[in-house]
Amino acid sequence: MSLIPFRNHRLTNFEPFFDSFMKPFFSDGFFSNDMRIDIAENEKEYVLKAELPGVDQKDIDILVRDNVLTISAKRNEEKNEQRGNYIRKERFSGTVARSFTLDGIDDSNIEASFDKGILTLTLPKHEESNPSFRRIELK
Amino acid sequence: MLGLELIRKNIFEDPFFSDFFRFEECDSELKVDIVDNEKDYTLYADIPDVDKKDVDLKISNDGVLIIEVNQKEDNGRKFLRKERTVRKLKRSFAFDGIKTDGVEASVENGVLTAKLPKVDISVNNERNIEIK
Repeated sequence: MSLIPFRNHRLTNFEPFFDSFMKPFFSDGFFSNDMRIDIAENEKEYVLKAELPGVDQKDIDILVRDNVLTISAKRNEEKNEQRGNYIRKERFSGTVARSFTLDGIDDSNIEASFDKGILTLTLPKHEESNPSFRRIELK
Repeated sequence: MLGLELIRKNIFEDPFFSDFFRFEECDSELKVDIVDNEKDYTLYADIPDVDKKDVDLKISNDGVLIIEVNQKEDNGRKFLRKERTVRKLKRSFAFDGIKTDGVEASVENGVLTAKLPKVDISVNNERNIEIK
């Protein structure tokens, strides 16, 4: 058991999409109670899945700004509680947020869905832009 | 690790202990809240992405609640980041003073909710013992 206070610095802690291998082991996300995510990649897109069990869809906010994607969500325990006493409290409550820098992503075509407490974001990669060459005339 | 967790209200009512346990970082991936209501204990467990059919919930007649989650592996993908673990989880809790035949449970929006009604203590269980 450890007595670690809530860690709430995640908003300032941008995580690059292309991480070193070890980082997940040391970052808060791996051990903390907060939103856990998977990012899978295929040729065309990245698929990000975030665990947000018990969160209402309307309480999820996804924002893309200056190449930074921020997912934030609020889980309010009070509304479905009969004001009883907690004898055990391990699940998160309040607001959680994580941010990611986007690189090479077509951010106008990001799609999101929410089912069974899982937020799925599909982030299409930019079309492979064939570098166009221009011949330089020798004078 | 899969040891039985005793849920007894009186221990946790002590302010020292309740603070201590309130935000406990637990070893299990299966995170739960347990609320002591007037008429029942309500247990909430986060099981995102888990289908109802992959949850096995059992209660023994002496009040041991066993939650088991079996989830299929998400194979054949290339992950850049993998924080979510494959779920084969099991946790048990021993409750005192519940009506084991009245336990109800549901799964919604990635949360398992189980309601364990308390034994009605207003029923008078006192009995005179004859002194011989």
